[in-house]
Amino acid sequence: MKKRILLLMLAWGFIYWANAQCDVTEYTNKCAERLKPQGYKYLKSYKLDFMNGSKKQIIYSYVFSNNTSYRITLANGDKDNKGLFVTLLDSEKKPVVSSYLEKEKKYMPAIDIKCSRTGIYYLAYEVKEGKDYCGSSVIGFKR
Amino acid sequence: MKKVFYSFLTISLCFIIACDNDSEISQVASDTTKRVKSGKEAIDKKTIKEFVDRIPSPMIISSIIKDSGIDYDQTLLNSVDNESKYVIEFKQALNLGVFSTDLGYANIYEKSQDAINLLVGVKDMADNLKIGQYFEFEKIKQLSKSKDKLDELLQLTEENLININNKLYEQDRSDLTVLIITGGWVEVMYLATQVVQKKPNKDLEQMIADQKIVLDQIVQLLDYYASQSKMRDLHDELVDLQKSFEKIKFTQSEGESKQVEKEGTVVVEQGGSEQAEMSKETLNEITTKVAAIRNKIIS
Repeated sequence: MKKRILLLMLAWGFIYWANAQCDVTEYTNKCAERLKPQGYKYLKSYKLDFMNGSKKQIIYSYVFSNNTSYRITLANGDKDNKGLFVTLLDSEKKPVVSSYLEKEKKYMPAIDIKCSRTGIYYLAYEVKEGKDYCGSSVIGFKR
Repeated sequence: MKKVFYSFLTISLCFIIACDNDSEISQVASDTTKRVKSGKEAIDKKTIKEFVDRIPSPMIISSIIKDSGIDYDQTLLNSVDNESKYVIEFKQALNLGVFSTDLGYANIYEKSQDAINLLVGVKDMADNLKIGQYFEFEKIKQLSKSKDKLDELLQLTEENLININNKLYEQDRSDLTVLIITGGWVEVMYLATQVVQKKPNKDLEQMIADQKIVLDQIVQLLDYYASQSKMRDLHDELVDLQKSFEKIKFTQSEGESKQVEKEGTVVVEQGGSEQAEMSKETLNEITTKVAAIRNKIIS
């Protein structure tokens, strides 16, 4: 019984440690930096905490406007944000674009989309491989 | 010993569930999507945060106003002198939204003195609502004074407002969040409609028309709190505004999206198009109604 309690305490401690470790400030700043070269203005940031892998997908929604360009940037602990990607879905939940290029097996750090329809869009974030379950994403815009 | 074990197990489970708050977002988003498909969404307490998160920043419209080559107009902004009129939380939250939008507008035009004045309004409203500690007043003030720190300033201001909304949500005061958002949206609509009346601009008119979807979201948020008389009155005024937006005709055409890879970025041009047809009468009607709602908020 003592062993079971010890095991549980260790698991509890690990979960606490894992949660406490997901500080995304550095990643958010990295994402925000990626907006500047093309003149995108900062709009919103999302903390991506996949709870050490227990969470498979994180979905946010946002109203995108017609005739507006958006940049969605991603960053995690890997310099090439390996494993982390986002799929943008339209209001009918149809995929519009993904930052993961299936053919090349590449994780792109950003998506630029020129929106042609105003509506609620969904941003579905996932970790496909690796064990980096903490990241950030920033949306920027320009007209 | 068994008791100790099960107590510990219960505490651990509670902790895991408490920490897994965000996982609800995924479920909520999925549930909401189902409702999107079935027509008008019904809102419940769980979906409030998701609705709030999806409302676009007023900064987009302020930015379009500036990019359209329209001059900065200080007379359109709410005066910080009005602050003393806002003695109840309902008014304080609405005007926190109003001042925040005005602050964004002044920042976009790099009008640092106006921005600093408006910052005082934002800070005072936030302090009255006991959320001032989440607003990095001094840091924002310093950035406002620097001409070359606009990006950082916009980022920090937006992050602070998001943080305030999150804190209110955690404190079970989301009604205030809804009011902050409503105040901010009404103010930016006021700026846009006033500006477009003085200097017609197709891009800005299209953006005003596109706000129909945002208005629908805000009305649904207010609807949740309609048992509170002041919230209900505001809700009813926005429902009346919705009727004017219903007169706008939207036409859509289908088209193929184009996707390329460019400098480490996936670049997509979404196919199809959408055009809003808004008559001058409808624009005038929206302008008048928005001004009336806004004047009631700031008075």
